[in-house]
Amino acid sequence: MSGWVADFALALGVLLALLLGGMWIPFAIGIAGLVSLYFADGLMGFRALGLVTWGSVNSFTLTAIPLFILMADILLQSGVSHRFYIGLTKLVRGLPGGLLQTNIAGCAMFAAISGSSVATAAAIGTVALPQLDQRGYDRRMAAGSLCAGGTLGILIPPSIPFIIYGTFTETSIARLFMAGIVPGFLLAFIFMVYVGIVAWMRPGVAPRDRTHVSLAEKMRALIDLLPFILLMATVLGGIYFGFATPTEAGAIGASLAVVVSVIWGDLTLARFRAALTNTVKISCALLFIILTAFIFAYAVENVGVSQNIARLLVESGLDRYQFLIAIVLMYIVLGCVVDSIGMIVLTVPLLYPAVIGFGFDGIWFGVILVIMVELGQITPPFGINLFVVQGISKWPLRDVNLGCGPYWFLIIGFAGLLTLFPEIALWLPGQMFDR
Amino acid sequence: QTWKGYTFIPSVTHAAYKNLEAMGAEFTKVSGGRIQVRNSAGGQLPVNATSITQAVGEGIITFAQDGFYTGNIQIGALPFLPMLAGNYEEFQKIVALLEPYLQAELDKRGVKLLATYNFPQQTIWATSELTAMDQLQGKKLRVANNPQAQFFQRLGAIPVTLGTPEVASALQRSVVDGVVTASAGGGLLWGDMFKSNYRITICWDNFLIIVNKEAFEKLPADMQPKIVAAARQHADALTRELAQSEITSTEMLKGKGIKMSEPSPEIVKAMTAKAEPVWNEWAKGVGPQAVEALAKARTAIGH
Amino acid sequence: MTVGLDDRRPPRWEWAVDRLIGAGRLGAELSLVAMMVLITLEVICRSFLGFSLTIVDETCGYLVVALLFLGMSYSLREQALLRVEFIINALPSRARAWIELLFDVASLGFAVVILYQMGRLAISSWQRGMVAPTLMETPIYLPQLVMPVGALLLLLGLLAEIARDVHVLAGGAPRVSS
Ligand code: NA
Ligand code: NA
Repeated sequence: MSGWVADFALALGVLLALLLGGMWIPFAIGIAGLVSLYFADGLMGFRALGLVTWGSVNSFTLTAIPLFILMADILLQSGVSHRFYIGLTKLVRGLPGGLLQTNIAGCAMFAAISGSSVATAAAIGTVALPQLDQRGYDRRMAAGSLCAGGTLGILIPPSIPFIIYGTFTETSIARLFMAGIVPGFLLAFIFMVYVGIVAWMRPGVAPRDRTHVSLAEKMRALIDLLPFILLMATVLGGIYFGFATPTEAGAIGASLAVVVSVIWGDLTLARFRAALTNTVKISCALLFIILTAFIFAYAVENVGVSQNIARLLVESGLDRYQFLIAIVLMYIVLGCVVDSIGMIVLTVPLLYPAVIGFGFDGIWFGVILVIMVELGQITPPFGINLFVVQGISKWPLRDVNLGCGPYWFLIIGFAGLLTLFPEIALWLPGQMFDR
Repeated sequence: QTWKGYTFIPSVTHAAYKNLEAMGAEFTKVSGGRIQVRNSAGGQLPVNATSITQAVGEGIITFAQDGFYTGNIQIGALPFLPMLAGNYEEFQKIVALLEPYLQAELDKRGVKLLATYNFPQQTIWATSELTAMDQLQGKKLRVANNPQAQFFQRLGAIPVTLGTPEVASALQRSVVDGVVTASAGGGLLWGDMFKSNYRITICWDNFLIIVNKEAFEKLPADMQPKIVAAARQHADALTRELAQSEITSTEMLKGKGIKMSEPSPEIVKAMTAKAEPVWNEWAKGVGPQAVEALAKARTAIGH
Repeated sequence: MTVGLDDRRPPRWEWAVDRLIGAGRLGAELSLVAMMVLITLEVICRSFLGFSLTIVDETCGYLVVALLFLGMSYSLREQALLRVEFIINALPSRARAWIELLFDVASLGFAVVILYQMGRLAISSWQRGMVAPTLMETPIYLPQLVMPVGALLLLLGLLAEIARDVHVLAGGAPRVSS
């Protein structure tokens, strides 16, 4: 009994020390795993590394991660994203909040073809920030809308965190994707309502644009949106109508992005190669974390940690809502120091048995988890979206952090709403799969 | 001494995992507490189902239920050959004569065979109407292994290989139209999506209970047979339990409205003839040992 | 303006390391294109032409392994791996340099273990004549070979990082953090 506690405490201690000390995250996770293995089984413990690595990375499902990143990057490199944002601007400018609304609507739509929050925040942010700056928008409001809008990238499918969660828990990725649609667009709507209210109360944050947009211009704007709608329809429709599994949809999306970018954008061979290089750089960083997390998970499973934790939690006398609140608090704390993928891969193998033990729905928990990851992405000091938006805008990090504050509370409130009404997430997959 | 137990079955509530736990407890008992056991279900350790034999050989896992060993031990695919065994008695004869071949191969990999057990008969399940073999034409069918794929290709079907976690969504979205599985296996997992079940027995799935040779041989000589006996006893119990579950599951699935039809003896005969070249091709591909084992099997069952 | 250590051209061996890692990156990019094309073809064949290529599932698993192992040293070299920097940024630059050296040496140890174990796996699969239980019956050591190769590239990348750390400790300018 005490054996696993000591081993787990050691693994966790080493992990936290290395993470906080600033070691590259995959090495920190991997070394913590090795220490734990060595402590339990000596050098013999390392013998499993080959099969563990091979067993976890040799996976068709994981192809979706680089391919969804590639799809978004091709659109970015070819300028299609730029045309999309400008087009959307002309259509949404009438709403109170102007371009702030465009930011969130743009992020929500980009989210439907991108699997990651960083890609979403970067894609819209790159185009939007110069426009916002030039027109004198309030910095905090502008930064907040982009950081928070960016997080929609992982709730609205396709979503890399859903793929990873599905991989670790063997839940259906198609169901997870469908479960993210309603909450994703609902959360986008909540963000837009919030922006609208602030803009209505403090008109100074979003200067009104009084120039008239003619009908012809609006039609042209719609054409700029067309490639995105086409891609969205193909990716989500392909999954819905059974042409492709969610995994395969990543490849179809990337191939179609090439076609779309040749027609609507200017995709040259050089730009395609730039997209490839960038995708390799980003997806290998993610896959490397996933690999080391599998090693870490093996090391702690090797001494039976998850079963023991699940047993202790179930026997602890917590009721299921206390348990849920404990988990949410843990994710809030974790969100301060670990990136999104790290949050999932480090906790899910340990907690999932307990989650199921408490009678929660695996799909619903996946949605809650992704919302907690979204929260972590805008929680300082280590909030990846904060860095992205700060990096593009060069505004003081303080303004960016403060701008995100209200969204932080909106997201927490939304998690509560989902707990009270799980149907928000579960209705659509139920309609689709359990006719 | 801690023994790590593992199974390819990815569910702690499945009969196979319960059996693994019971067997582990029995190991502890017959060893007088010398062996302590810690079990994990498939996927709890990041060891692929297809790597279990190798993992046991290297001592990463001490003992296991191994269901996907045919990549490591190619000759082990003999009982999986489509239409080879015409009934359960024939299947058991084939498994018995295969055992020395299996043990010889496992020996080279540092693995000892403790026992074998089997899953009930593998039949064809489809998301559409399937009451005759010629309806397989053009259907996308998830198959388990290479000989099966070749067999169904000859029948005009499109064999697809998919990992177990992908099957549910693939069926829902018609990425595949059918699966070769047992009522007590895939039937229970994906029953909601099937409309029909053509109950032609393609094969029985033969699974192994294996142990790391070094760990086993470290045990006192008088204890070793007790471990083997415990493993055999639990393996037999699991086979019986699964066979029983096949009957109740089939009834249950029939009650849910899945249309089940049985092939006539003539059809079975015709299909067996169609499968014969696949067996020979398989044996030639694996090597002289497999050719010999196949010949022995065919003599034993009389065709 | 004085000529600092940083103004020297990178040593020849570091240039060679970059070329090797660049070759790995190219392999990763090709793997990426291959998976995109293969899966797209599979979906088209299956949905519209009524047959399956039957090898895509398996091949793409190998391609993910190749992508990760050939590309991860490039992510390292580009400083694209994530890290938590708020504590280390608050430290005086010399203390920071020492910590980075320490961490990079520890990471090197990790890479050595990975290199050894991945090599051992590929050799063991080769000696045992293991094939994939699939239609292609791929000798499994072939796709596994990419793992020790990638681990070696990672090890070289870390050596370059360590050289950089030592250089900083010797008074050179730190690399601009990305
Ligand atoms: Na998305
Ligand atoms: Na954070």
